[in-house]
Amino acid sequence: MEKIEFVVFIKDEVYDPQSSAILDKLQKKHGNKIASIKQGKIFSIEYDSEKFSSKSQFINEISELLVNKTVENGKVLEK
Amino acid sequence: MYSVAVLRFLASLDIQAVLDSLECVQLKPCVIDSSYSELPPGIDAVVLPGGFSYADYLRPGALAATEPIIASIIDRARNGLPVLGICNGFQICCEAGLLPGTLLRNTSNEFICDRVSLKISDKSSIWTAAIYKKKLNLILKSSYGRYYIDSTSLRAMLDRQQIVFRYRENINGSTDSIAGIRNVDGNVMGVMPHPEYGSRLKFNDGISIFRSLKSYMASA
Repeated sequence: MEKIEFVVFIKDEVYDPQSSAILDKLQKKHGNKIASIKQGKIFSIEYDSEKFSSKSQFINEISELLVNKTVENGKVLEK
Repeated sequence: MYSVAVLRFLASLDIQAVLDSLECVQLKPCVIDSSYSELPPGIDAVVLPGGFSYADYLRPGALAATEPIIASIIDRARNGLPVLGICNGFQICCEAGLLPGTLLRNTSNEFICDRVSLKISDKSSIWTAAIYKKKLNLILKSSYGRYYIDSTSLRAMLDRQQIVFRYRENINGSTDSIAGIRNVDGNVMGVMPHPEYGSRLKFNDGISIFRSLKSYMASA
């Protein structure tokens, strides 16, 4: 079994009001020491690598559900 | 009498209002559970109702769009079956690829529950043929009601006249004030405000959408 962490963020060009609200609160507390913040999702996934021809094939298959490509980007979190 | 399937997903909420609206225009509703692998025979149209399918886990509509019956609906829609997605049903249609774009959190970050006025942008669609008013008053109730599409795809939609309804006042930050769209062939429509509440409220503008559907089925 292999384990990966996969992260999904809304694309830069798409306005995310939740991230804006979080940034607003942090800036009220810390001022302009906080320049930006982007809220995302993280998925910790264990999978049987022998059932997939490659890691990229596995990533493509899970991305179909985990990422809405119209507004989001997804990638494996490198450690 | 024409039969209309009303899909029931885990945490669909507005089924009864859809049933009332369909009966109001003498269409025969038939509730179908989303666990079915195929639509039963004799179904003339499908409504995906509002609600919070799968509690909006992952993204609104994302998990419902993977249900086996959705593949059956996509297949039938390619052959002209009318499909109406309302609110969460609209989100499911977008996630399933039946309609372009997606629905995002309202720019205000608030759950909006309000009466909204819509302009009819495509009066020739099968969904608007029986609308004789210049505007529709409907109830909008959603957190993820902001329609989003990139500018290139929007231009393509405008060229194909796929925008059916626009908000007169863009209450949730939708791209181009879009409240409802259709697919290229016109048989699939998604709308964020709720036409089905017309059967219960003083203003029953939304019923004309169901009346339009019935007229289309009678003429097809």
